[in-house]
Amino acid sequence: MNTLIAVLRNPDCARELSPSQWEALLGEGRRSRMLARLHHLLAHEVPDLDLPVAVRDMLSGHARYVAHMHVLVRSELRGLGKLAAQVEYPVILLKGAAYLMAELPFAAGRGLSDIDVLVPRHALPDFEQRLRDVGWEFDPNLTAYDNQYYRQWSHELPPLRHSDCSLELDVHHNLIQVTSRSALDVAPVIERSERVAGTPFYVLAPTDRVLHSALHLMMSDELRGGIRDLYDIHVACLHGAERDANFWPDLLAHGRALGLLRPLYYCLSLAGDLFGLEPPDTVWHTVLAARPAYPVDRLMSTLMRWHLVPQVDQPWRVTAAEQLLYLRSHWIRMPPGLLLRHLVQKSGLMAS
Amino acid sequence: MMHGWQLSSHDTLILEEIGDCVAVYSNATGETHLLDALPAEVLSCLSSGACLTHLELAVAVAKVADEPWENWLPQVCNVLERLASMQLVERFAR
Amino acid sequence: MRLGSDVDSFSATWQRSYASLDVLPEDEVCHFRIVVERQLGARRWYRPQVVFRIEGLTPFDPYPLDHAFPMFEWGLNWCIAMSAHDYLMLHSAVVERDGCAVVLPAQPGSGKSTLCAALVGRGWRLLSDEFGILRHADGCFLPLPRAAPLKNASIPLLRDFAPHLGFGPRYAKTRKGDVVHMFPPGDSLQRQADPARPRFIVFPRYEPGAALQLQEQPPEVAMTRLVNNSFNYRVSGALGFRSLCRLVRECASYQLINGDLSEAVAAVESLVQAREP
Repeated sequence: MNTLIAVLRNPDCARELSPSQWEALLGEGRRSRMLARLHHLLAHEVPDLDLPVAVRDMLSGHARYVAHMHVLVRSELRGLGKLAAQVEYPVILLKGAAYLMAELPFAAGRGLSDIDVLVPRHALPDFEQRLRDVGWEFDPNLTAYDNQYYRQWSHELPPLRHSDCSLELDVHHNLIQVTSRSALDVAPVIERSERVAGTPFYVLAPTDRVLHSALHLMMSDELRGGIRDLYDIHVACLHGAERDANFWPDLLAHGRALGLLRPLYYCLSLAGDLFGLEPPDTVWHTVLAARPAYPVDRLMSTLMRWHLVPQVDQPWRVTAAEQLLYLRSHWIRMPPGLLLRHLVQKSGLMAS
Repeated sequence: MMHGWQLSSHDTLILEEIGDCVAVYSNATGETHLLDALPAEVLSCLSSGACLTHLELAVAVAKVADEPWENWLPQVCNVLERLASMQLVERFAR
Repeated sequence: MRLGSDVDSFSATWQRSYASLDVLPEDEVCHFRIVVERQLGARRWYRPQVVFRIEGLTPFDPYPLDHAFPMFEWGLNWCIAMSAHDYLMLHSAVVERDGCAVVLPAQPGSGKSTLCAALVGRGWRLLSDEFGILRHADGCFLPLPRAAPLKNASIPLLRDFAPHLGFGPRYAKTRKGDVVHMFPPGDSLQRQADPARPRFIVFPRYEPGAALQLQEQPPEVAMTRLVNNSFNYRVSGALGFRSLCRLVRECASYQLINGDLSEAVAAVESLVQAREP
C-alpha cells in the first residue's frame, strides 16, 4: 500500500517505517501537497516519535510555510470582515479560509493559495462594487474573452487582487459552473450556512462542506492533490458525525435534494477503501443506489484510484488517468458546443 | 465620548532594542517595523494593555523627557496616526 | 540527497565537484530524491534536452543537455529555498576561519560570489556561496558547501587569483552570461556538518575603479538590509525576527565598497585579525 495513505489511515504505523519508506512518504507527501498536514498529524497522534532529521526538516519546513500563509489569510480576512459586516446578505467563506475561520481541526497544515467566498447571485453586483471601492481589482491583462467567459458561464467572478494582499480573492455565486449539465440550486445551501461566532462571516453547514468538497474533487480540473481533498472529506465526515447525531441522515437528504448523490457515492466509497471511513449501513445503502451502471462504476473507480494512489513504477498510468479525468471534468461542466468553443479559444486557434 | 488608543486588540507585539531604534514584530500581520524613540515610547506606554488618550500619552512621554506636555502633543498625535496606519494601535471609545 | 542521472557528462562534472563527499548510507533518510535525465522523445537526438525531477515532479522547463550541471545546481537551490523554512535563509555567502564566520549578504551583481571564492582561495572554509542557512536555536550558520558559479569577467580574475582551486567547464550563454563553477574545496565538504558562529556581516559592493571603503554600519541599518535580503524572512515569522535581531546584535556590520579584489580580501581579513587578541 501507498505509504502516505497507510500513515493517514493509521498514524501509529509511522513508528515502523523503514528509511526507504520514510523517503517514499516524503515523495508522496510532496506530490500530494500534504507535507505540512503530515507534520501536524504526526505531532498530534505520535508526539513521542523521534523523526529522522530529514523528515523533520521537510515536514516542519513546509508546516511553517503553511502557517505563514494562514497569517496572510487571517490578515486579509480582517480587512474583508469590515466589508462583510456592512452588508445585508451572508458572505460565506469556502474551503481553506472557512476551515481556518471556523477553527476546524483539519485547518492545521492545510495549504491554501487564495480565498474563496460565496455570496447570493442577486448580491454579486453590490459585493463586487464594494470590493472595488476598497481597492480590489481584476487582473489588468484579463482579456475581454476571459472576462465575458467568467461573467456569462462561470460560477465566479474573475480573480480579484489587492495591492496590500498577496492572495487572490475568488468571489463565487454558485458552487459549480452555471453551464454544468448538473446545475445546482444553491439557495438552500446559502440558507443553511452558519455564522461563525465572533466574526461577520458565514461558512457552509457541515453537510454542505462535504458535498462541496465531493463536487470539487470530482469536477476539478486540477487533479494533483486529489488525495488531500479526499482526506478532507474523510475528516470532515468524522468531525461532522462526532458533533451532530443527524449528520449522516442530513448529508444524505441534502445530497439527494441537490442531486449530488453520485459524487457523494464516489467519494464515500473511495474514502472507505483508502481511509476506512464507515458511514452507517442505512446511509451507505441509500448512497449505493446512486452508483452508476457496473462498467462505468468500475472504470471511474479504477481511474480515480490510479490518479489518487499512483504507482511509482507506472507513471504512464497517472498521466492517462489525469487526461481522461480532465476531459471528464470539462465535459460535466459545460454543454458540448461550449466546451469546444472554450478549448479552441484556449488553444489559440480562433485568435488568427 | 472620549477616544483613547490601545494596541491592536487582535495582536501581540514583540519589541527588541536594536542600536538607537526599537524593532517591533507584529504577530497578527507578520510585519516588522523599526521605530525611533518617540513611537517606541508610545507603544511601551500602551503595552500593558492600557487604553490612553492622546493627552495622557503626551503627559507620559513628557515625564520621561522632563519637558512640558504641551510641547509633545502635536508629535504624539502624529505618531499615533502613523502607528495606526501600521495597524499597531487602534482607536477605542471609552 | 539521492541523485540519479543518465547524462554522463553531468555525472562526471558532479563527481569532480563533490568528490570528497561521503556516500549517504542506505539506512539514512535523505531530504531530496532528484533525477537529472535526458528528455525523451524526438528531442533526444535533435538539440537534446535534460530535465530536473524531484520525487517524479518536473518543476522547470528542460535545459539544453550540455547545461545539465548548472540546471542541477539551480534546481537544488530551488528545492532548498522551497523547503528549508525551519531555518532563516539569507541571500548571502558565508565563509569561516578560526571559528569566526563572515556573512556576505548581497544582491546579484554585487561581487559577492567573486569575493567569496577569493576568500576560499585564501584558505577560508566555504559554508555557502548563495544560501546563508541560519539556525534559530543557536544563531549559528549551517554549511551548505556547493559549487559556486562565477560569471563573465570574474572567471579569469579568479583563475589568476586562486589558480589552485578546482574549476568546472565553461557554460556559454546561460541566462547570466558565461558561467564557470568553482568547486568547493575538499575540507569544506568534509566539514559540512560543522556549523559556524557569525561574527561579522559585510555587505560587499563592487564598483569598477572605486577606491576601497570599509564603513561600519549601525545595527538597525544592517537589520533593514537583511530583512530585504532574506528569502524567507516573512515566512519565518517571530522566529526570523528574533534571529535577525540576535544576528545584528552579535555581529559587527560593515559596508565594503571595492574596485579591486585583492584589496577587498585584505579588508575582510584585517577585520578578523583585528578581533584576535
